[in-house]
Amino acid sequence: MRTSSPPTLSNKNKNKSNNNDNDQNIGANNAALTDVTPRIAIFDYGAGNLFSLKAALERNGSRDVSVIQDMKSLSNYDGLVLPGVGNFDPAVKSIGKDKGFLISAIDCKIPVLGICLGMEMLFNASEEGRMEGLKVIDGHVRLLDKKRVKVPHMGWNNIQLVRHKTNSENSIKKRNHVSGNNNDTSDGRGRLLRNIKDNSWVYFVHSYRIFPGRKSRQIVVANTRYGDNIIPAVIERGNIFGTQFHPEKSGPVGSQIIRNFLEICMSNTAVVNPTENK
Amino acid sequence: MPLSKRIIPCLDVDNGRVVKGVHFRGVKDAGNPVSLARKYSDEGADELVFLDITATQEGRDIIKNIVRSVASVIDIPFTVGGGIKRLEDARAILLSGADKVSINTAAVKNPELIGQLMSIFGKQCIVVAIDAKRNYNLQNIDRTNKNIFSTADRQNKNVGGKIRNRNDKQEHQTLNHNKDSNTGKYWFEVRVYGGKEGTGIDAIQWAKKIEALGAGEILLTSIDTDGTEFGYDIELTKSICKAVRVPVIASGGCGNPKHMLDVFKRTNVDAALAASIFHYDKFSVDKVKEYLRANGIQIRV
Repeated sequence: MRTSSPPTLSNKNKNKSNNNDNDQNIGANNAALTDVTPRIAIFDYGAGNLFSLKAALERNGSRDVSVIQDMKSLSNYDGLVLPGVGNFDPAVKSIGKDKGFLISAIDCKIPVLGICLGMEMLFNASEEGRMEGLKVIDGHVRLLDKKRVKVPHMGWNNIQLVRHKTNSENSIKKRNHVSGNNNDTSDGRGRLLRNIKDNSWVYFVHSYRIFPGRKSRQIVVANTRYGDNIIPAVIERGNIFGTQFHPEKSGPVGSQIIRNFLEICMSNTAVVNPTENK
Repeated sequence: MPLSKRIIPCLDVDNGRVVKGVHFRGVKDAGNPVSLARKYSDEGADELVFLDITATQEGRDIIKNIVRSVASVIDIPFTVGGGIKRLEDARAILLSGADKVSINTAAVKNPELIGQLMSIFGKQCIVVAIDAKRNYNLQNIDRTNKNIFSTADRQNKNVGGKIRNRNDKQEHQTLNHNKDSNTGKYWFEVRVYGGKEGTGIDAIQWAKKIEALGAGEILLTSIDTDGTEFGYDIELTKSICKAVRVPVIASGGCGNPKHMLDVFKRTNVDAALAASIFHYDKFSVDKVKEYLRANGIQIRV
């Protein structure tokens, strides 16, 4: 249950109290999303900047964000974020032996948000490295075409929402039904992009892109256009979510996406925990 | 769809305060970095750049705390530069929450640093800043690796060598203040240590080299136009943009939103950086972006 109205996207008028240097204002206000906030784990590949991501999750409503180095304790969390910093091989290697824990957590429907590299790792393999990916989703990761566009694709670009009306979407809905969730946001776009308008601006920094395999094309819920390429920008399959851009750096739109993910984690807990207690 | 052009307020930080210098000299206090960062971010800035101009080592540690505070209050990317000499300096800044580090003097003194940073953090984290200045001395230099420009070319490009409007006049005056420039020929020299020291390196050659070494982005400052508020250095910016495929940020000389429109219309630059026009509340970021959008520039709103 909400104890207060959800935080508004715009903090524009906050800087009326401009000259005070209290940086905690935003975090404090937005943290009041729900009584109980989801426990979120960020997996650390050991490659750097997780601070902004952690801060963004906290600003947008989780009071309990942990940076974890192994996946053994995943069952203690309501959601997992695979961050988007680093290189493919070292990142996959850092999961290493814990891959089994991750896969079984995914099987148990823990919501997972892969950001950029974190999403790319879910696929079979990447041109960025030689190691095998996590193979959670069928498909490959390839370098952007340097001859045609500037690489990295870095900066603000807009996303076009995709609407699927197919059998496979229905089967996804059925699968979600097990955990009491359903993808239906009345517009058929899935849950991560709830309240996100078509052509919203988000911040990209990447040199690689995903090519979902034939059977997983339906997971793409938003694309972006870069040069004459159409690049998948957001994927969603059951409780697995991925963004090619960085929601933690995407201003108000990114914050909304993070809040959506946190709400997914919360609603997942609400349904899963009672069954566990039985 | 092309990427949105980015508007980047720049905050020069000295001992924990934002300051603004003119021609790399004479600094004025402009406010608290964290409050300013939040203000710009709320107003719709696309990115922020912090340049630490603190001279002392104690002051250097202040920037890490600032980076941390900034990272916890804003949700747009930001770059930190100034005084980053070694891998460890860059790591400390990135671990404090910055998205990118900008290196300048260190890249010139030790170009391998670019590759080292790239292999650890990825090229998207590596901004190489180029401070360039026209050098009218063409004697005793190796011309083979210099791109030579001439004042005559520049005037010919304006209709019949005539000065078309006030902006061109200002640009003309700015760029011809050097009385020794009789030959009218010059090249762009990379300068280091905050513009104080020449390197003999041609800026266009250098841009190509750092791209090859793994720079993800170039922050290009014209020392000739910096602080003048007469507009960006179109000639320099255009030349660098033509030479590389990594994104280029134009910097130095912005005095009003028209200058941003100018640099976006006349060059292929990806972002425009400015400091003073935002600091003293002369123009707010959202007003500037509205103006650019109304004039047909692809802008995030």
